[in-house]
Amino acid sequence: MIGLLDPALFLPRSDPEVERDLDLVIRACREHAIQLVPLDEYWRDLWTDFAQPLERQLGPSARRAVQQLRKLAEASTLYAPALSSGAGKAWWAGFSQLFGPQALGAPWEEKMACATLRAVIADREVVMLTRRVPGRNLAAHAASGSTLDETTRWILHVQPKGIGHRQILCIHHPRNLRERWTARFDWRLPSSSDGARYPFCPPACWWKGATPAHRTIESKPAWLDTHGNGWARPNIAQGAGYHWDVFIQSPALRQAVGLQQINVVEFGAPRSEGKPGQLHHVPDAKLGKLTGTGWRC
Amino acid sequence: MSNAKLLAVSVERFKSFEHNTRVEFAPLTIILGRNNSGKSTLIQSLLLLKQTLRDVNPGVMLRLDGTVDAFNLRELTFGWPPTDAPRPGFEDYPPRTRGPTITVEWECEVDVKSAIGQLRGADLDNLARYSGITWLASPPGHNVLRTAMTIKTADIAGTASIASITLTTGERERRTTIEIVVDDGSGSLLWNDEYAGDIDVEFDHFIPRLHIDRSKLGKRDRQRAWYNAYLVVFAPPLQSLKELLTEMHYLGSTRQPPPSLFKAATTAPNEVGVSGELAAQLLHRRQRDVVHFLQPPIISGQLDPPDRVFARPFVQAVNMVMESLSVQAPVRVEDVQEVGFRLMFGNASLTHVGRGLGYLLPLIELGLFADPQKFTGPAQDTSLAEYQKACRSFTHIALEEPEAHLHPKVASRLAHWLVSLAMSNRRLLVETHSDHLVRRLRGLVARAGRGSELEAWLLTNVVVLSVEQDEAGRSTVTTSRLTAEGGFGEVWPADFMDEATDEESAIYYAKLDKAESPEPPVRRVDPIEMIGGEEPESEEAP
Repeated sequence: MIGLLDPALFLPRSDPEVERDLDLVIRACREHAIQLVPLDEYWRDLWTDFAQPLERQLGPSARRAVQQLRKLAEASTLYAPALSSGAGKAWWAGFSQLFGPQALGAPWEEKMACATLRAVIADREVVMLTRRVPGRNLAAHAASGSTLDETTRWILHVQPKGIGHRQILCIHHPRNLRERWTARFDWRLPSSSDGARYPFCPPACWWKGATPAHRTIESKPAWLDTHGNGWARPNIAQGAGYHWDVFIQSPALRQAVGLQQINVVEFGAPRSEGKPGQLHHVPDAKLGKLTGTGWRC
Repeated sequence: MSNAKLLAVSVERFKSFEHNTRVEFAPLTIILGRNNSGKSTLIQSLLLLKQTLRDVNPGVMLRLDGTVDAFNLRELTFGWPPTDAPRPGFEDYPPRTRGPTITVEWECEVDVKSAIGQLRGADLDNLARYSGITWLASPPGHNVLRTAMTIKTADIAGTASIASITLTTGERERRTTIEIVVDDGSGSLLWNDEYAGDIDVEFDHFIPRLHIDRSKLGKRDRQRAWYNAYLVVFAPPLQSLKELLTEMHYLGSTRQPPPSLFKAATTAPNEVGVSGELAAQLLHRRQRDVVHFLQPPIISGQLDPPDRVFARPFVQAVNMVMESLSVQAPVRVEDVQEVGFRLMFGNASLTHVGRGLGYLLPLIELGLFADPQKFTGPAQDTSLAEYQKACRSFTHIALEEPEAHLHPKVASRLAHWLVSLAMSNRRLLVETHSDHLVRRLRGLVARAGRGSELEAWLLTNVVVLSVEQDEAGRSTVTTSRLTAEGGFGEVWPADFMDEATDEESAIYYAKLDKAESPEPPVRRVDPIEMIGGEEPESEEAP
């Protein structure tokens, strides 16, 4: 798998933010054997225009993250043939959203599109390693004590000549490659593969823009699963809630579960909070009604 | 062999430390800092006391010749002050200048029962009441006592002297303090601020010894109680401190060029020497005697804490450690009949091997020689727990730039050796400029499993002291511990860890800048076509 680096990873911000974002990229590369291939189309400019100025302003710890990321690329041995004329097509909308002047301060759409096409032509799966930036590829919704971070760009579209249309997944967390639907939905939603009794079952065509991903339920912004359940994340400081408020919409499912709202442990919560997808806590008044029956995807 | 552990040292007005600066020591204390930042000063404060104790004349209170060498005490005092002008009315007294203050804190286990037994039926309640040390009323058989000794020095007419000594024991709320004001080689004593006129004080260098004429005092006299309490609570720790400092090993960063042929020592040396000058003779004399050492941690798959303490003849032990440091040339002692001996590394003598081996050998020998059970303990391997149980004593080692002349890989592996020493009753103060060594320490803790025994040991027992000096020449110290992720808890040492990686960055960017510019744009068909409008939606998941 070839990974391409989003230049926004190297936009100026605080050291802890840089470190956190780059650590996620490094983890994703390690866990999923992603190769960072230094493709001429973007690599040199990426480091001279973005990474170098950033690295100069960082403290030692964050600087090490930048250096470590670069080391991953230095280890790459993959050969990607150069692009020839008329190598393919790329859809402007996605590339301009992520890499246009409004997003990066300079027009990078074509560089990134060329690099993406070249990587696809190398006959490997390609992912874009992105950073979510509000107003660019992230929209935050907050209401009634819940927040929902909506990823507004999770796929880029290219069509190399002779290969056909390809969707390039934009990932922002290592989990996005184990549970690909989390590239669009929140990566903290528990899945069947976590052994969840109450998993988030993504909609069948979760990647299609036409598939609704969230709506307001009980005045809270909530992710929608295939059962129509709404998953709202309580807005507790430092993410210390560690659970999802799940609003069960289907009467049949409500009956099976015994409640119309349950609290489910999120993925990534400390072990002491319980296993992902299990009940986090049940108010005493509701305890008697709970059947213990979960659901499957 | 002392069971004392050195816990902390404070220095004030000592060399570049103007203000009172206290540093706590761990089993493995790493001291970092730029050149001339003052990092050697911390070790020198101890070496000054050590070299004083080595003087055959107990009347020498501070000796300024030796590893710490100075014209006079003022040279060791912050700012090298001139002699103070006499105060009005004191013109006839010798000129006196306030010198550095050094405080040493240590703990040791005291055989209280035995110490009290020597008091010949002292009234323990009386002892506890007057001394302020309540546990003396019903003393335990053994007690671990934490003691601090503050030595205030003075230059008196050009002689390095001591102005006063303060000893404290006990916890903050129930601290007992004795202060000895020194005048012309003898001292007068205050016990918790009360004057003890019938107790005489003599000195064994800077270590006070109290004397009392019992015949002058009643059985329940408070001064008699103070004196008896001193014999139980202060005298044994002071003896332990004396042993600790006397036995403390120090290996500097320089070595003497080895001769091609060594003369055999007539008696076995008791040290490797500050420049490793006795290392060859020590190895020659003790080559078959058994020393004990903990197997250094090995990085292969899961990083487990080492647990096996090897008992091996000295030469074999040296070679095992060398091998663990990735040095492949085994050392052997080759006698040259009736002339002396040679040290051979493989087929080359010490004179003709790389300088690094000549630097490394004393370092390895010292770690082995500092085995509290050297030459006497069991001849078979044991577990670490058994070794520690049998040992019950500690040795202290101060190392200056142990990485000198070592290949980066060996310098990294040195971290393993230091950890294994510190885990097995050696307490180390290591002054270093080696980012390889420190990085490997960080690497060990990062590799150790989360919550593992080794991780816990490293987090608790490794301390990093970062010494910096301001523009006015004043040194300060920041103490950090490692974090489980391999970072430093409090502060990253300035300009230290990242020099190498930053240089790599600089090279990388310079390479990008130097690379030939991409070919000038030629009019050709763009390789790709950017399509506007709606994006296609696939039926296949990405």
